[in-house]
Amino acid sequence: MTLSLTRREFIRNTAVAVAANVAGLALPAAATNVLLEGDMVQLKWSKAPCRFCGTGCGVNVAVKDGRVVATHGDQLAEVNRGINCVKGYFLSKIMYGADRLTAPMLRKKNGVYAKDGAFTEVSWDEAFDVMAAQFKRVLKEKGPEAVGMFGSGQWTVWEGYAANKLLKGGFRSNSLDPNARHCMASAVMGFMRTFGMDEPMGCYDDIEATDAFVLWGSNMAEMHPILWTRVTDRRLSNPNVKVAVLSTFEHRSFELADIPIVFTPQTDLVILNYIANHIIRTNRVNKDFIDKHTSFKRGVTDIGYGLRPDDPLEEKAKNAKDPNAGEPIDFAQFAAFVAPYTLEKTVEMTGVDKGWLQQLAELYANPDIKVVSFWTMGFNQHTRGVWANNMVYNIHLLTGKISTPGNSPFSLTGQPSACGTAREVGTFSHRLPADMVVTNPEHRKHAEEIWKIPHGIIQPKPGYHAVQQNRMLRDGKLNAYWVMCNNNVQAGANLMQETYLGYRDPRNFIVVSDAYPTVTAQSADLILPAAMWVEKEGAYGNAERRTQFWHQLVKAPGQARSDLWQLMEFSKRFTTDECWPAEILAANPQFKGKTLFDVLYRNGNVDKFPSSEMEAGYDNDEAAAFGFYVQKGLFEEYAAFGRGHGHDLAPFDDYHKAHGLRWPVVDGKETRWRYREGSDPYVKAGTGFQFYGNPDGRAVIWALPYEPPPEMPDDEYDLWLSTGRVLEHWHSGSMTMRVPELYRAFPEAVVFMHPDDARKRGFKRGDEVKVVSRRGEMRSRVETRGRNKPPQGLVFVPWFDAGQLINKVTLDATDPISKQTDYKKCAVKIVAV
Amino acid sequence: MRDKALIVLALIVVLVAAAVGYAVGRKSSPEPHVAAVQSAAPPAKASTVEPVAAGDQIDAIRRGAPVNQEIAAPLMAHVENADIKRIRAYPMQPPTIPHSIDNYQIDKNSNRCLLCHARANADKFQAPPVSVTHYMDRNDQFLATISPRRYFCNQCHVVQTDAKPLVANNFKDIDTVLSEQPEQKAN
Amino acid sequence: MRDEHHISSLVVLHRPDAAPTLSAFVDDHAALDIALQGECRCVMVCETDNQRAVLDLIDTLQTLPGVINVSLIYHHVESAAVMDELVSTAAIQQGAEP
Repeated sequence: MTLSLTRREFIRNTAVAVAANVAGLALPAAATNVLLEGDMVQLKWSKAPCRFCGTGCGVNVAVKDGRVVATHGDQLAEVNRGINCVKGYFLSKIMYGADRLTAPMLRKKNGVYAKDGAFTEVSWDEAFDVMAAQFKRVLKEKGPEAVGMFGSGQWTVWEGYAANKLLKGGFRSNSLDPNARHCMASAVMGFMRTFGMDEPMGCYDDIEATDAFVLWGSNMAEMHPILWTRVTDRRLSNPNVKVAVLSTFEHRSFELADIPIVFTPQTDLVILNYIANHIIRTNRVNKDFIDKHTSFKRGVTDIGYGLRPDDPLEEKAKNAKDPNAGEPIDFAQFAAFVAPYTLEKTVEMTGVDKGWLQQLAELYANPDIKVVSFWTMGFNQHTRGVWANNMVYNIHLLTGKISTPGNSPFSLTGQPSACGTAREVGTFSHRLPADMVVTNPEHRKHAEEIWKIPHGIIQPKPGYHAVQQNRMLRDGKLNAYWVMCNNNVQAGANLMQETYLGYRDPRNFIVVSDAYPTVTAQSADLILPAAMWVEKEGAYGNAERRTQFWHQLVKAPGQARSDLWQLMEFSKRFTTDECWPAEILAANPQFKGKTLFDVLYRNGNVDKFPSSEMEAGYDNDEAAAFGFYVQKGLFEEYAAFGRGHGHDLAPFDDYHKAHGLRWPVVDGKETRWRYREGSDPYVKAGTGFQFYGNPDGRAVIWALPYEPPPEMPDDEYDLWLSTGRVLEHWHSGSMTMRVPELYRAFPEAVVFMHPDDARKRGFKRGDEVKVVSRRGEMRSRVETRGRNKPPQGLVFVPWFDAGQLINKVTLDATDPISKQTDYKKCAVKIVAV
Repeated sequence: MRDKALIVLALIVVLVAAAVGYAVGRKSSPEPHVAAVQSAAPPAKASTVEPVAAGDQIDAIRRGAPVNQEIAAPLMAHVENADIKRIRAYPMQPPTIPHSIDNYQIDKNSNRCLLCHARANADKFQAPPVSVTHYMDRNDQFLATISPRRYFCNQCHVVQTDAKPLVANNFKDIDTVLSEQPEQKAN
Repeated sequence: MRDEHHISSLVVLHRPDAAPTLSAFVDDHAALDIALQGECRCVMVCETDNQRAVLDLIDTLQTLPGVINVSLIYHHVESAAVMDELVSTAAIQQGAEP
């Protein structure tokens, strides 16, 4: 038998192949990445970023006979240097759930589409015929604003970009929003209000350079485990380094905390202003820095809670109409504004011990301590999330602790390309690529020029954002809706009163593209099977501005197709005459009679690169389908938006070689710290720092108060509910719940509660209960032990479990500026079943 | 008419849920029964909602329940505690923990896992010592003690409960792919 | 755990003229093999019956003249008894039982 290979030989081969890859040594056989013994055991190893969170770890993926057979942490990847978290180690299995969708499915009755029909397998042709007919009907009857799409921070860069073009440049609808609205919108608006430019100034290298870490509403131990390994490394190797962890309940990150702080929900705003006040009162303001590099503003207050406009809370709010407004003030006015936030008042409002608050404030105030602030959903999913973002920048700016190694206010992301796709590509309902917005006529004109479409095509009014989309579906105003690469029936708040009613409303046609049959797919009318991860060529952008590419390594199963193919193929079914106004076409007759595919993707840019430019040895199903190197054409056209404007991306081919590059990439060099002279090529010599996102080069310090949340526990609904994730599952669990080891590690959601709260209600661990709010209820079981230890008065329920939909209970209140939902606070009661 | 349709639907739902519960084989699971959520919907300007057809509960993770109804929560799964090593799917996979770790204290001062699994203690406790890879720092340099970046064991190593997966996984390890090769070549 | 078999791979960075030294060292140590040799780096495979021996070998390699750095890249431990089994053994059961 020529096939025989012992286990020992096999392991030796693997060991050598992995080491050869690290050493950059070629293996002796003809091709690279080939094992030593026997032709039959050739494994091909390629690099890819992890499919899960925004950390952006590098992995090596082994392929054999068209299947992924192993993965391991990439030793050459700066981010993770060879290690993965438990989810990353099981990446090999995420594509192989037995219920992968492999054919389009349409709800049918008597052979034709019917809203109340049963899912029936159909061909792609029939699926797109029915879908195009529905979209055309809605365009004709209701106009472009009734057509919408809900996209994803898990889209590859070119998928988001192609979708942005199709919706805003093709259908003329700005009702395109990504699920990143649920996750990063408050961070985006925080950056825009303070710096005039999105995304962090620092990078992960800050971790190894700092003296103190402060986690503001971020459980990195579970949600960003590999960054946590770097924080742990820094803390345990250097006893002088301090870690402060702030949350509304105790979780795994507290295991490393020197300063553990559990505060009353919403009072993080009080702590932030107390620290600013402490810095000022103890004369530790960096006067030179604030004089040269900052300005001060007071924001409007009483801005409402992003509920429906007829909600009494909205009618009562003075500035719900223009929550983003503010007026210039000076330092003295700012100091007076935060003066009431004394230590005593802060102790009273937060319930935190005086000593911890003082120690925390000193981490910022002490000029000899370098400090990194990390935050995620605790800040962003907050009805005052933009404020919280602004306020943490305040304390870094007051002390000048910013943009230098180890001094870094750092907003972490939850999705692998929330930065790369959702934010940089601008797939939000008000945005265009490279931080441009649809409301600015110059920006629209610039985008139309790059896209080579006539002026006047892009609409000036922002479309429906995520939460608004669900409301408009329910109200019957958004009628043709495409959900791609997300699971919003599980993820959207207030499922029973909003999301579900809209999806099942007979006026609406709902299309869901996904790899697996999620509850969102289950609620749709047409399901399109999607290719995922290394079944397509891709690019993601992580939280430290690092853009990472990967090749297509295997084929998608059955008739599953990438989102990119779906978007572009669907565009062939529409002509400009069906989508664009007659007067624009009359003035630009060369566009008449063309398909949207012709004008958006065969425009001389996107089809510029022939398939022959692809790297040999890899498939590319989209290039094969369309006849040109689609991904390169889309990327290069997209990169034209940012080059020379502070968002410079490297040439396409460089990314297939590098293990990610952090933008702006200028003259082949990535940028680690922005806004600082010497490390950012955009900062002029002699200025020291330049916050060039704002015209005056100054960052804005915002005077903003504490305001209460929209719903608080009362006599009937007597507990706070916070929702979130667990380490073993990623977001809605559609991938990780299908990996047996991850499923078995944490098989179902539970209600984490304080043992005394359970006892008071007559419950013990394991009892079945109902979590009930004013909006809906969910059945689960009581957990009084384990990794999360809520204080009395608060329960925590993870949302990964489709069997226990906690978003039936949550409140769809948002930050009025960012429109991001607050998933961390509402009032519930827990009752026996 | 509509009410009748709803009753029929509810019946089908119960049957589907029961069937799924059976198929899934959670023997610990109580008989699943569906509780209709009391209508919390506000006075609706919204129009009626189309009922979904029977047999459309395609998300197996939903355990057979329609999205807008509630199903009994499964009994809490138990952590397997047999101390039997499990087969790994591929050599680089971190081994799962074959015992319960309830009340294991891990914080910056003490690590209950390393009490047994550290190299120095492993022989005494008959526990597998942590891999030598865990003694390297970020720059591939060897340390005398376990690398701090590997300190929190449960970022990679997790327990396994007795819950039966709701969806099978068709991942094939290298051995399996290799053993299937002759057939594929013949095709 | 008496019956262990450890297989590891190492990347050794060295000065170009140290290759003969390394080669001689490997000849003297049955546990080591040079799998790949580059100009100033090589990949070694190391097979031992205990973990201590891996570390000892790495420590010794570090001290050889001309060796700049030794990195352990891959480490796998399994029962020695299964080492001679053919890899085309039965598939591992994944996921839900039928």
